Amino acid sequence: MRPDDEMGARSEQELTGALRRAAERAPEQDLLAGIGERRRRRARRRTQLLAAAAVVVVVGTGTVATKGIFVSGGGEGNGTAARATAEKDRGAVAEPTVTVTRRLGEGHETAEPTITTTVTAMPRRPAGTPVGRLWPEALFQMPAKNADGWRYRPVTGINATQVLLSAESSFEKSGKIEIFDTRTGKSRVVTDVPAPKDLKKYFPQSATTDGTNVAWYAIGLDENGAGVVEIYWVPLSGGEARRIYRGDAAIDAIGLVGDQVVWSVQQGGVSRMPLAGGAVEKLTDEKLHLIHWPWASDADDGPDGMDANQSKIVNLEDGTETEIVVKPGMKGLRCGPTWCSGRQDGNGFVQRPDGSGFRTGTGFGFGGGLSPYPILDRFLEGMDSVFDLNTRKQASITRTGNWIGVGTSSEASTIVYWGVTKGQKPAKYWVLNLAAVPPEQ
Amino acid sequence: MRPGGVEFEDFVRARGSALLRYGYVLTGNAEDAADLVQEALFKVSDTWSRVRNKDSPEAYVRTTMARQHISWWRRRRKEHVTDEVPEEIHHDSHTFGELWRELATLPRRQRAVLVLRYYEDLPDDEIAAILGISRGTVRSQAFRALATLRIRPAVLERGQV
Repeated sequence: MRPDDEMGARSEQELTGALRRAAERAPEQDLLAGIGERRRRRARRRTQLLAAAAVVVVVGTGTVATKGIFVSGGGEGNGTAARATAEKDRGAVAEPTVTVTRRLGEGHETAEPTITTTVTAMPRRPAGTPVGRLWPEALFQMPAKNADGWRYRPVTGINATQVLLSAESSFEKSGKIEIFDTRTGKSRVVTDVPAPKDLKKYFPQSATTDGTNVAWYAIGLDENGAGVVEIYWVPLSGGEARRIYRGDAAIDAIGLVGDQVVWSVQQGGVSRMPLAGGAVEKLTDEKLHLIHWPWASDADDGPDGMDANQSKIVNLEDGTETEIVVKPGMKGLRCGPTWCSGRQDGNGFVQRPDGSGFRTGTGFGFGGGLSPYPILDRFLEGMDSVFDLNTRKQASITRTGNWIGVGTSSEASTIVYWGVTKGQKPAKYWVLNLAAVPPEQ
Repeated sequence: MRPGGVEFEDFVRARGSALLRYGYVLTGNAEDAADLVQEALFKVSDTWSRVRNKDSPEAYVRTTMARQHISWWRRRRKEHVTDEVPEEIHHDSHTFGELWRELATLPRRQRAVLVLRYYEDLPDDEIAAILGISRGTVRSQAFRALATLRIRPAVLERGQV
């Protein structure tokens, strides 16, 4: 029996959440090829020219829009232009739109890329303290393009002053990795993102950084159409990206720890290998997924797992396990070592893994970020708000345009950003780097 | 020949994924979503020179999709059966929880109203304009759909502050 039957009705917010998450699964299609085919078909019908030989069928000439990259997602999705127009007419407050990225499908063998999803939340008056007043040291502006004129997608904060960026050489195609430093107000190039010539449908996926190095994985198809996964890394100080892995691991999360790169796979299980290259070592056969080193979860964030609750947190370093207190009716519970968020009876809530500190709140459990786990084990991003779970403070974001982006790192990104000016392609971004919020402010 | 020209192609490249997602929540499955989007874009490509001068070409496409989904679908489905099957059909093998499954049981117009309200986040008067029905009908359709799904509406009518 469904818990909701006992507990009463669902909320509208839950419906929004279901639609939003379903939308993430919409597959990519070559629309231009499809439209072209339709045109040819109609033309054939109109003119009654059915001679097959006269019909040139061109398949795959169009580019599939919005193939995702590790960088896909942070960006300038536009909920609906209709809404923007409507707002103008009504003079209403801009409504929340968040763009998130999720991996599609179970396996990588079809080389399904990460997809970008634009998410529209229910209208809500901005609650909390304006972010610029609550955390002035964490809010800054930066250029939206690099020296080549390529668009930036923020990945995550490296520390309080540096932001890891991907610069896109073409639409959602990562070309360079760069770092913006708020102290100098300048960016520098870390590396060019390689694109192997022997792979097709090649898409860099999530990146991670430990403050010393950056690593990412990429997926593609070989000449036989078989799925291939690669892992690259490079020191943040700069240099040529080094490929250390090419294989078939269906990676769902990646991290760095010292001289090792560590990852988990979609079916569960964590492995690592030295940055210098070498053998892949399985850390556990248990069906675990990396949250951020050393923490792992038994919850699967694949399409079937979104309502399931995490039951434990595992410290991969020392092997200790912490059971999570799950109460009836809870859904989608996700915990880092300190904080959890989830849904219950159509409301979002937060609690600690032992069940203490429980409270409900608008925005909890319905966040639009790439990772469902709390950011830095402390913050929850909820559309036009960011909640500090430690201090119970809430920062509100008053956007200028009709979109807000989140960073695209493998672990929950510290970056939330939006345009300084209206429109999809502002010259500058406002960037909130949660890594710059002081400990207990 | 390039339908609609380079600018149209750019539009499709830039907004195609978002439109597919919209089509997906409207129709509930990937194949119909692709069909719906392609059909709407195909229509628009013919008149792109006029459409692009509108305030929002995307809003125009979305309106076309919503209307088409409701009124035109039966005919299109029949046509579709006789068409060649496109490559790489993405079948739905997963579900997104009970609510998503139950959405499939709603009549098409009720579902469209919910999608416009809760996914597109539009007020009832705009939903009425898009679907070509009265605001009262929007309200009653939404009310019925929410009741079927056992969703408790916070307010009975949206778009009025």
